[in-house]
Amino acid sequence: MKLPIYLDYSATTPVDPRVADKMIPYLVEKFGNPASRSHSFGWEAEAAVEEARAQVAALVNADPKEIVWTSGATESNNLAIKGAASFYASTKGKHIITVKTEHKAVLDTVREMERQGFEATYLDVLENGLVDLDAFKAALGRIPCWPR
Amino acid sequence: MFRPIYLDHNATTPVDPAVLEAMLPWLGERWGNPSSRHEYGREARRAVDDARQRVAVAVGAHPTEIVFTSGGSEANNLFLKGAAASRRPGVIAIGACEHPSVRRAAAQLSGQGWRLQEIAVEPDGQFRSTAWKECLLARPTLISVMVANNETGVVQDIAALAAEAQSTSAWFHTDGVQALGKLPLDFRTLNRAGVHGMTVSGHKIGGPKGAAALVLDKRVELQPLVAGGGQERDLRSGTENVAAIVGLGLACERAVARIASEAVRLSELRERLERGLAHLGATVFGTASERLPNTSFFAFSGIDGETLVGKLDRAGYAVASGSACSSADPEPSHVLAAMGVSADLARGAVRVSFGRNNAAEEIDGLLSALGATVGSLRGLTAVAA
Repeated sequence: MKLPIYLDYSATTPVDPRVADKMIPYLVEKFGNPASRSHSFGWEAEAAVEEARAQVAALVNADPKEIVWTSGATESNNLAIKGAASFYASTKGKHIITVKTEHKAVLDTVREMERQGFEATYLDVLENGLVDLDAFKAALGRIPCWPR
Repeated sequence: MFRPIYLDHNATTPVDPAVLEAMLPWLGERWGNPSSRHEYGREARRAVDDARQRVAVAVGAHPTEIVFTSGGSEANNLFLKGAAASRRPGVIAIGACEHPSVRRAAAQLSGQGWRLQEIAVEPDGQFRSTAWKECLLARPTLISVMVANNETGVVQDIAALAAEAQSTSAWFHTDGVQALGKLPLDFRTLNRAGVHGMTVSGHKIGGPKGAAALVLDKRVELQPLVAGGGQERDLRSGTENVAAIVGLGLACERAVARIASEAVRLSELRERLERGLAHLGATVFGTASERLPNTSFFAFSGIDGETLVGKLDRAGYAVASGSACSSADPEPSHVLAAMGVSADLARGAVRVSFGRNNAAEEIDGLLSALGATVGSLRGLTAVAA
């Protein structure tokens, strides 16, 4: 048995060899910029991006139009929270609810929104780690006009 | 399969085979998260640090001044928005020919209390010193001016501009994406002249898409755009794209090492192209200025650029009309408009940008395809008239 055995798959995982095989051609011969509209290098890259969008959408049962690529999940969390909070601040109020057990990418983003004048509720969790639904409902009651 | 000859290297480039080889282990048997403390994580951390060192050496900076991002657009946004968030709103001054990632970021700030000022250029694509001095009189808080333009290739003397701007308290940013690997870029020299931040990216120089860097004077305190795990000195959270960062590091090192020889080879190719273009009656833009050796931006009057590049693609030559990022935009190039080119002529604009693998016979082939296409389009126009 070769040590160390990797037992940290929640931190990151090896790239599946089939995934690497699919990626490599797009580094080498299919290298176009998907924004290039005037030649086949660009079209081929755009087609690949759209194929991947359909694959991700299928996995999470979403419409491909609902997929926004980012550089990573930290950026996605930031985009969702900051983007929505700023966009709706004037119409839906400035109150953000999150849970104390969230990832740093969420908690730090909410802290930053607090510095920008938003109010935040950090819900406790029950002993089993799940959200206390009563506390969640109570917090929701303080958001005036969110559609329910 | 038939592959057209690729002449659009300012849009993106193929990954250099040596760069791919350096990246492959990080897509295979080495996959650690650089933030993990075990050996898998530590080896990934060493790879990121090694890439940081290579980028720093390539651009004349200290490794602690390199902030990795997902791309040049993000690095431009990080400097402008990050600086804006840590200073009181004032004037943000940008060149009239900047990349959309600078223009749009500045436009967003102008909706948040900032006054946006565009610095006009002359027909040669350069700022006249009176326009620059006038801009400085408005006491800008932020300035962003690119080293080399993505469409025309026109190069500005950033050190000289920054030196004049030192009389203000402005934070000075420069987008070096197109200049990297084509011109020597020395952040230390620029920094002494008054430049605080510089954007560089890998995929224009044989690196992969997905990794770029903001080179940043540490005295400048930016607010991060992305909060989270605190990677990149807390300026850019998110697990590092290790394979792409490794690729960026080696691509920078290799591109910078061959600047001198490539500059000579590429400018010979361009001279060959532009002699032929003159013969065909094209107008080449920005020729009165120093330009990137690999870039030629031109138009034939009365001939639509989109039509021309479409026909060239079918003839086997992949070139661009305007910049890739704005190709979906039917408006003629804002760069040419700023240089005083008429909208009619600007609609004809075609950009050819050479790279590593292009050779003289490909230029000759492009010229004969251009001659034939322009001839037949002119013939059609004559018949229609």
